[in-house]
Amino acid sequence: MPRPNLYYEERTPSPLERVWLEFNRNPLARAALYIIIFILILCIFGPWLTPYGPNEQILDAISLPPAWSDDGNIRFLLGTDELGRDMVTRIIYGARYTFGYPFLVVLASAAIGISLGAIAAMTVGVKSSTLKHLLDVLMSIPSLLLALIIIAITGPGLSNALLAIGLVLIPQFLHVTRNAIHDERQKPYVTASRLNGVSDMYLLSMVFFPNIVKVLVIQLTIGLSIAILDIAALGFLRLGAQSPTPEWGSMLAQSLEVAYITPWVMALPGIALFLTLVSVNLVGETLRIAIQKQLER
Amino acid sequence: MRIYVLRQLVLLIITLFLLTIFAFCLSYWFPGDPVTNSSGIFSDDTMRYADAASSRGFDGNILVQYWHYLAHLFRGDWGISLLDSDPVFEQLQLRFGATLEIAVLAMLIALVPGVALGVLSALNFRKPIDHTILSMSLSGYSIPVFWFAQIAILLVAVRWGMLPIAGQINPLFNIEAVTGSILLDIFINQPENMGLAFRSAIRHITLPVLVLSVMPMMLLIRLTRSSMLDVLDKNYITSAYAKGLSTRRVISSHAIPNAMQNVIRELGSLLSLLITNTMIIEVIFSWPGIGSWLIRSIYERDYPVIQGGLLLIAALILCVHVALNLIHAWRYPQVRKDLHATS
Amino acid sequence: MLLDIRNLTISTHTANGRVNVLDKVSLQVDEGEIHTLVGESGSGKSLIARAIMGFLSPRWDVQADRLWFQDIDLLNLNAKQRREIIGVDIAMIFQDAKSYLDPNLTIGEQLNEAVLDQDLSASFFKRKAERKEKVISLLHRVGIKDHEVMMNSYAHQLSEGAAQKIMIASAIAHRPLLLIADEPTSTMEPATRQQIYRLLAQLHARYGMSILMISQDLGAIMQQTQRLSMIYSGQIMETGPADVLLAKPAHPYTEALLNTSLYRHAEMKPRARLPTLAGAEPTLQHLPIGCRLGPRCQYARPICVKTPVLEKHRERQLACHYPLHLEEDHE
Repeated sequence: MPRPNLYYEERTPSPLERVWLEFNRNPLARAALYIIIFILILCIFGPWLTPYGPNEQILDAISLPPAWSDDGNIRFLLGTDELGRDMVTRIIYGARYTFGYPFLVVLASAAIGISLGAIAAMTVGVKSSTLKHLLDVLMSIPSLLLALIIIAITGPGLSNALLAIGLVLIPQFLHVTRNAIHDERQKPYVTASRLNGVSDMYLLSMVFFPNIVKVLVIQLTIGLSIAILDIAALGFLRLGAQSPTPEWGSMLAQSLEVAYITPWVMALPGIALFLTLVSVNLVGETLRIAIQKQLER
Repeated sequence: MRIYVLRQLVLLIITLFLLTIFAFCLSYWFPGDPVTNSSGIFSDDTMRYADAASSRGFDGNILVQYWHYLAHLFRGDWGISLLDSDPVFEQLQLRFGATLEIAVLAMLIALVPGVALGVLSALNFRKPIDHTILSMSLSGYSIPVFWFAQIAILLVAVRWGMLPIAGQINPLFNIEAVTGSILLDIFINQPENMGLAFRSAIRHITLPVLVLSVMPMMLLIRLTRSSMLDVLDKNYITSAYAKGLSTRRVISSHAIPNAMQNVIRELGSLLSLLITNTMIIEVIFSWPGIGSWLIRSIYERDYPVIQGGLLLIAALILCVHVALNLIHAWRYPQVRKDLHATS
Repeated sequence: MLLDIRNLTISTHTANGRVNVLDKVSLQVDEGEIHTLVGESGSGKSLIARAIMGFLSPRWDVQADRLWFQDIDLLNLNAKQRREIIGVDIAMIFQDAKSYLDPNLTIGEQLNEAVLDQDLSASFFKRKAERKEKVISLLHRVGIKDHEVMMNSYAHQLSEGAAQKIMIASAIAHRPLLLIADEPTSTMEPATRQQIYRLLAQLHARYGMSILMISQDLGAIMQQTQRLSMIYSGQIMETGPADVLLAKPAHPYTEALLNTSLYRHAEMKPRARLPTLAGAEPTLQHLPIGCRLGPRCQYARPICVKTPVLEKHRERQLACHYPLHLEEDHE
């Protein structure tokens, strides 16, 4: 006799839905997510949204304060800098340099780092343990210092800085991927798959990957945060983006001399940078919490 | 334990050795002439150039050159600056002191409030006070340090005129640099108006150290909090309560010591953060440390300085890491056990 | 009556609303009695222990008509009053004892903590020596002779059995009136388990303390058990003297558990099918209404959707609409 189904069906939300629920639960985190999406839109469509060119100097509007101040002009919502360049335009263009390019660089180095990490994890033995030690050493050296070394060899410049940061991030992804796979490898479900006689390729793509993708996503946000901060820091130290480029870090560096007279020139790129970093960190943190909750179940 | 110490030290030596190879290679990878890059002597100074080339073994093969490079390294002859012909090694010694001074002070300032707030936050898990501390640490952690320093200068130093903007001490005080650390140097020099000199030095050092301490503090809050939360869930906390101990006693003698174990393991990442920020802070406050010198030399293409500076900072980081590992193993018995099981 | 629990209900919020994890549990422990509480994992038996000790986190909502230890109401105690009872008059030992020892302190240091200042008589300066003496005598009492080595060891160097002995030593430091043992032997091998049981029985005989033993298997309860309580899915099914319950289970659940354990194997025919309880324990989200055993009970009838109350039948208490074997008693 078939047993009647006494229990109503309970639907467990899928992992992605749970992440979304976690974002829904925390209004700050959701705001952060929207900010990132907004900045991404600015990166892509920025040039069509801006009233002026990034380096266009409007001679009758030099060092104008933001529009809500008494001396402000509504043509320049956030004022102009000491050369008569519109701040709104420069900030929007800057999103490309400070957020867009690092974003692409992180994606590229993630792709390289993760595949190298997967290869490294599938090999075992002396090679692997030497690699682990070397990576540990490499990880202990700050990313900015490594980027400085590379820039010392290649010379300053935005493209060199991007290249340097991309190179610096690769070992981090490699390390994380390798460690994650190594941790998973110990677990019984992997042994079960191996006993089923699956190939290495299948093991990697169907067994390991779905289980380490969470770790990788978190590492992606960490990497993005590092890349943005380092690009801005290099720009600020005048080793990254050079002078007229509206990169937020180098804008901060240029504002040093005039910050006492026109503080908004310094405040605006800083606020933009701060908001971006907070959002990236907050989204990363929320993802981490959501994933941790899933593991606890 | 002895085996573990030995292993760590051997690993350290090997790593340092690899580091010197890397630094040696740098003089080839840098644009220009390797002899100039490593010694700091231009080829138009024919006599000395020939001297430098022969003393560094540039007539021999690459192994001979490396051997001579090592010999120079240990002799303390790290070449001279391409810009002002200062001997790199002596300069680095002085600047190392200055860098350590602000880095160590900032670390000390970050340590106590960082750990305390982290513990407080964990004990009030998901209560308003936890949310406040957490959002403070998250936003504090996201402030780009160079922007934060600029705002601090603009407000504290320029607008309110409370503290000086840059430098180590008022240049009127003629303090001869011995260690590089200004507070120690005043003490060693014993100038007649020592009180005033100390006052000036402390006024100069306050702002950079405070700005520098913020980010490590925020990171420390987060590390301590998550580690405390982990520990508070552990069974031995329950059994400590079952013994009838007071909450304060359980926290202070069981929870915090165990939570610190994780924090100590993570101190390495704190160190990275501190070093990165120290370099930036030195540039902003014109602090005569390694970081500002290194960055200046990168855009002046002063290769002997870059080489020496990198070597020193990297070696420092590696040594601190090994020291942390050793402390960790010495202080925490079950770590030792794990190590013995694997080695 | 040493411990008197009446209608203890513990509820918590889940995704599907409020759930009573413990549903009107009543439990009494007399002075000098060994009382064993048997239930499958997840039946809420550890929750009872934790509720007595006051260890439950705020997300558990505890309500009871009565939760009394002697004549003290355990539900309304401030931290200080609680400390005067917990660890002094009530002590607890746990399963997986190793994880209940602080990994970074030596065993000696942890046992030092268990010896309270109020138990020491010597002057301030001699306290350290007296404390050490006490610790050594505690170790001897739980059958550890090599006290020097033990006191300098760390938790990771001990076996599971030795760790449990340390837990017992620290629990009996104040001669508690009640010892709660939450599955103390479930992770041990049978030989070690017997050792621990023998130790507990000895201590019980010597100091006359009551023991509330929590166990998940009828087959592995202490032989000295005087009373048995069966708990299923947060409801007490049957309570009574151990020998009566084991000889003549009146509740279908007790009978089912007995049938699956080794007790009755002698009576079974060769090649007979080992009787099991059909189905699985309900999850917290899907608790059946009424008697929670209902869907799995082979004697269930429509009335079982009404929760049976715990009623007295001679020396046992029973919560079932259709008890077994009782008619024969009435002859």
